[in-house]
Amino acid sequence: MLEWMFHKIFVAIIPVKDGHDVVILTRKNKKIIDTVRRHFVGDTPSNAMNNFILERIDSSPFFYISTLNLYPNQGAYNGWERPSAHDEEIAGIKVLYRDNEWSQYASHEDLGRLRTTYSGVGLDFIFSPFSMIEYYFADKIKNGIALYAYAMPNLFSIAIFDSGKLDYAYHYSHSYSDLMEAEEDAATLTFASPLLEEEDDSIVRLDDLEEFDELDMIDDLDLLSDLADLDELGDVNEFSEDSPTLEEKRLDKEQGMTVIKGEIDESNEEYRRFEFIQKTLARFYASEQCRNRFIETVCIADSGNGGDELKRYLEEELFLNVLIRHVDASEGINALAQLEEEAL
Amino acid sequence: MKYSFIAPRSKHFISGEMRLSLFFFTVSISMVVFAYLFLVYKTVDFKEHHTSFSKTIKQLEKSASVLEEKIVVIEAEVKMHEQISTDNTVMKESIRNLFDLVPDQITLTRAELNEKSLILYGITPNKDTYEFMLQAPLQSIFHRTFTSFYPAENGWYNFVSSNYLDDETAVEEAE
Repeated sequence: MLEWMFHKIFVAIIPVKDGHDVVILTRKNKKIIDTVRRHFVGDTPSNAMNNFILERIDSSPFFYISTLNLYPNQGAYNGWERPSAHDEEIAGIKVLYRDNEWSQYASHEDLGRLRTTYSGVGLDFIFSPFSMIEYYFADKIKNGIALYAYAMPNLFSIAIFDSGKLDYAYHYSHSYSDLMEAEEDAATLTFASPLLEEEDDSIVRLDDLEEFDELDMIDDLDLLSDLADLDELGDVNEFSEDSPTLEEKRLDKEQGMTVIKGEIDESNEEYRRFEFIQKTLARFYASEQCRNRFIETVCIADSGNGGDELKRYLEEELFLNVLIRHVDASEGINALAQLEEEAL
Repeated sequence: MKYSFIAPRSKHFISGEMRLSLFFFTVSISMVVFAYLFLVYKTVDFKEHHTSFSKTIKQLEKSASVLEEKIVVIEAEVKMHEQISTDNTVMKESIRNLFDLVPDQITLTRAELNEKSLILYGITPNKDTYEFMLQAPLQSIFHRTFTSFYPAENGWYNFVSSNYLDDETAVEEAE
């Protein structure tokens, strides 16, 4: 009744690799008046993070704290027959029905774990990555058959929609390397791919990087071979006064290593995502749901910065049309929270 | 819930202090409103009473005028009654006087007494008895007196005496 008098505050907490991103959106009468983003380090919510959120939400009684369920025990299926509460209790899952077309589920245990994790501030909404797919591709999923994916670091959810109806879904989370191993027996799509094979050969492993330390020494030797006279030694950088010390060189190398490691991690991640899509497509084509349909389009909502390599892999290896949308996970979570709040 | 696996916590936008303040505000405002409504009710009630009293007053005024008219009529009737009563008394006295006037020798057979006339029929032993004993007092009372005689079988005389009062008396009475 008196809601119009107060601001509405939507807090999105997104667990990331090295901590939590907290995005606080303040809205008054459907007008966004402020957005604050803050990163907090630590696997668990720190006191600083809790205090920051509590301080921010103190200005209005109408605040909604939301997060994304990243745990592995969740998914979506193409039915909407409502199981009884007893069945849900036995299965230990919570099911959400979407437009009488498809359903999402999550483990009660995981939801409880999330509540416990964020008990310092409390949670109002927990969303599924499949809701994020639905939100980011609301304009696409009703059009025809396509594969949709939502990508976050250490999370990859895939859903195949045909004219708004879910046909197939799979959720890959934190420990997807283990999942991958478990799925080794699943048939993969094997398109002839010389490019991929070449790239497999050229994959740089972290162990090999240790050998890169020697490269500078080799360059120096080349420089020395060019010297005609020992007098010209002064011109060699190593002996000049402006040249960096050994310690500085070591630090530079470490920085370079970190950048290279990051790039390699990113590359590995994208290749892994490519493999997920490949496996998912293989399983879809092998399943009854396929019904002789062929997927030509892949739409990926990526909350990271990459995606180019993945796009190249998909286009060149699987001959798919790829659409990659770089999205802000917090924006999606807060948008879903606003939709939920409006429906209250 | 459409998208979320959990329902949001209930939001209380009123703190304890705020709730207390609101309670007192509500009580105060409701008292003022109650007083206002009471006064409005009383005003309306007073107006209704005023209207009904006005109607009653008008009705009473009407009935008073009717009563006054009735009183006038009754007073007139009373006067008339008094007049009639007086007239009757006068008549009675007149009749008594008339019979007192008639001597024992004269016998009246019929008398017609009107407002301004008296006609007597009777038998007299002779004209002189009539003239001395009855006509004289009648002439003192009436302005005009006419008497006619005709003999009876036994030698007496039947007489008819017509006596009239003139209008002057009536005028005087009116004055």
